[in-house]
Amino acid sequence: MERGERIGLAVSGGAHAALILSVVLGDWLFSPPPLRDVEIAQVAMMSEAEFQALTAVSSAAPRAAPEAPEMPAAPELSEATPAPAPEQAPPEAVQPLPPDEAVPDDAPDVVALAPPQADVQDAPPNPIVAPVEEPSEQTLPTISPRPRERPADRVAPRPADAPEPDAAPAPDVVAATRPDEAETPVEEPDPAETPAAPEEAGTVLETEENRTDEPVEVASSAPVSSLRPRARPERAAATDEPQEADAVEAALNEALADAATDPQGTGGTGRAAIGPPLTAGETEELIVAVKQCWNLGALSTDALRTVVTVGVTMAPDGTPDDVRFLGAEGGTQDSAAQAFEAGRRAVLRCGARGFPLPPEKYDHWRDIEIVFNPEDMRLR
Amino acid sequence: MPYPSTIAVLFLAALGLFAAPAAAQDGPLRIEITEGVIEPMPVAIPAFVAETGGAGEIAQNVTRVVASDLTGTGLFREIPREAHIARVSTFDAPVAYADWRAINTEALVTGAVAQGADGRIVVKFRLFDVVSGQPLGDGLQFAGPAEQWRRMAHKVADAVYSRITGEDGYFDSRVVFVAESGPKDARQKQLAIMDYDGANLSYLTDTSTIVLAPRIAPDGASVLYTTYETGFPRINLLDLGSRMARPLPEQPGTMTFAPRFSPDGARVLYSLERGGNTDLYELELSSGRTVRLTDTPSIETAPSYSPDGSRIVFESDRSGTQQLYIMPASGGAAERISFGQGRYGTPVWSPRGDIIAFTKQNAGRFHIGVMRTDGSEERLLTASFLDEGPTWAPNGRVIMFTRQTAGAQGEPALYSVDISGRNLRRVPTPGPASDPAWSPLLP
Repeated sequence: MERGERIGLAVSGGAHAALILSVVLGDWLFSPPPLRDVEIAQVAMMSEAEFQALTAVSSAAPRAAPEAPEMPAAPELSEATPAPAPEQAPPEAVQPLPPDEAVPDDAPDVVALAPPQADVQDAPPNPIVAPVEEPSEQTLPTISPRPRERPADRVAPRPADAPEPDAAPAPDVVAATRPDEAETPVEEPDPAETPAAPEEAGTVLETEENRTDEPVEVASSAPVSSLRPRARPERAAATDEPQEADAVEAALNEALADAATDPQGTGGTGRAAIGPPLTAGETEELIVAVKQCWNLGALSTDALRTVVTVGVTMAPDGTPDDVRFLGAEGGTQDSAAQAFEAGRRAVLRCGARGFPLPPEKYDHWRDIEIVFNPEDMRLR
Repeated sequence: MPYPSTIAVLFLAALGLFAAPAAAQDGPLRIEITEGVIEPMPVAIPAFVAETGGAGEIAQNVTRVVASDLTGTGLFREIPREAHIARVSTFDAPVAYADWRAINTEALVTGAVAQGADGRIVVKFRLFDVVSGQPLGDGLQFAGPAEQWRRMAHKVADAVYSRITGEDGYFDSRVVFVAESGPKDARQKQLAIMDYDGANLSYLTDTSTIVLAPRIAPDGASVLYTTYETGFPRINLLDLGSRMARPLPEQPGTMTFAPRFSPDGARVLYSLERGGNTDLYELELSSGRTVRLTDTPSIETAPSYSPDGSRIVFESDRSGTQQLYIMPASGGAAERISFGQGRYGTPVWSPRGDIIAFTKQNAGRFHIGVMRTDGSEERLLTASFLDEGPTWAPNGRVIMFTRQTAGAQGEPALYSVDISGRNLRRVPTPGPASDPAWSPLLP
């Protein structure tokens, strides 16, 4: 076990112990504040006439005055107590809002008001008006079924290389029967006979196939240096039997100092992962994104018994830069290869436009190990 | 009031809870995918290029057979030609992967056909992984007489299938079966042989006698079958080259039936009935020596060797009902492997050696099922009025069997199904058909 791991373990153990102590002694350590008395107010019903009288002398707020049916006279309570604090306003404050500004009345004091008139109907109190899309004066570009050829720059300045030549013609019928037997020596095609790609091939669109392998300079949002605070200077007096608080503090200081200077950062970048790791939700989002492209339909039964681990190096935009085989369990070498191909296709297909990963946590997902386990998908 | 030191400890511990993971995090993010989708892989098969003037029609036919083979497995879905953006005008043209990705292609098969002055043709192909943007294996080509174009197309499909799935193909193979004709009360049966997809049908025997249960030799050169030409069942051996048949050695007063070749083709397992009792026997073809393998008062029949020839699975009613048993190929104690509801029969050992296909009858229904060699993981793949007589494809992935529909008008037909239970398909035959026997891959 490495030093950093021991320190982390010590800190984690201390934290857990403290948590347990807090639970055990919580009642003594943290006495909850006394509960406030709940104020209870009795509400009196008022008749329509009384309400009309009150509103007649109120402020100039417009009365939408829905034509409410006349309410039956409610029995008056013997004692009317003030309403709870938010409702301390005198009853005359209760007045209907204009229909288009009415809000659901969730107050405990109920005044049976008639529902707003038909203007609102059953629409929600605050209907959301969708923005009206105004037609643009610009004409929409027509989408050609074929990508338009770009002029001038030749992405392939030289004729395309002839693909790897096939096996030599067999003198007899059906000489090749199985793929593993068809490793006949391939004779190199005569360059003079091999048709070179015509000059027009240079106007081939820039495809991923023709893209250069030069690394693209991408402005990274990741900081260039650790943002961790510099380690505190070590305490001169390290007693043989430090007290509990000093021991924890010393361990923390040491851990922070190691993290700041540890060259073993995530992804081999020479710096430690900074910031919080991916949340469970973010990780699940990545899993969902990958699995919908993991097609096992064409896998052999052996491959369906093979668990393969794939390493992926991601670009900052969430697209996979490199997909490599890391290991396999179960099955044969061939089935491991098939399982790896299926996993790689899943990563490349669903990652073509970038996985949904938080850019600010790039350090945490620059390198990903994906375990493709078809245990639940295989034939039984 | 809590002690200040206690609060300090708790604060530092809380700090440690946040600091510890960051300090201890090491290594890349690791996730596990345990669920995926099962869908046919989209594959594009543009028309094979005719590299010579007379090869146009053959190129079209080869393309059609390759596409039919692959899509017929249920594992692939062909992208219609109308959706293709890129055009393959020459066999060596570079692949515009982006164009194929745009139509969601995952695999691309390109090919070409050329015909020489002597009439021989050359069929070649390449396979590309469009998602990864790279070829998938080396290109291959096959040459031969023009009339063999179907076999070359099947071989192309076998190679494509094998490279993508990791399993051997099964398209370049044949099926021997019993072709039926005439009214049910005067049914006529004769042996027939065809390509696995129903093409190139020819008859091996005439309709003068009833024939049953054909079995192809491991080298594909001969066929065993049961015939009633003498009025009693006996086993004949037919040479596919000469179409000449001869009976196997038999003993007077006995009936022999249900033959099966050993994996090396040197021996034949069969059932022999004598005095009302049926047991298993093994015949060495070269010497004619016969060995009795079982000696019980029950009926033992329908034997099948394991691929390594060391064990035999067979059907017996020694427990009171038809069940499946396994014993050493040299005879000896038999172990029962079927314990489910119903009756089990016609077991056939998979070419892979890991599972056994069988016919099951239960509650008035018939099923084709598979189970492990120890009887575990039984799965029923089909269910109908009458399904029986499974035979394995050379790669052990597909099973062909006889299905008879109910009623007075019901007729038997050949069907195939993937061992996953998916892709149930009818095998085209000119008329009613039964008792299929699938050959190995042709050399």
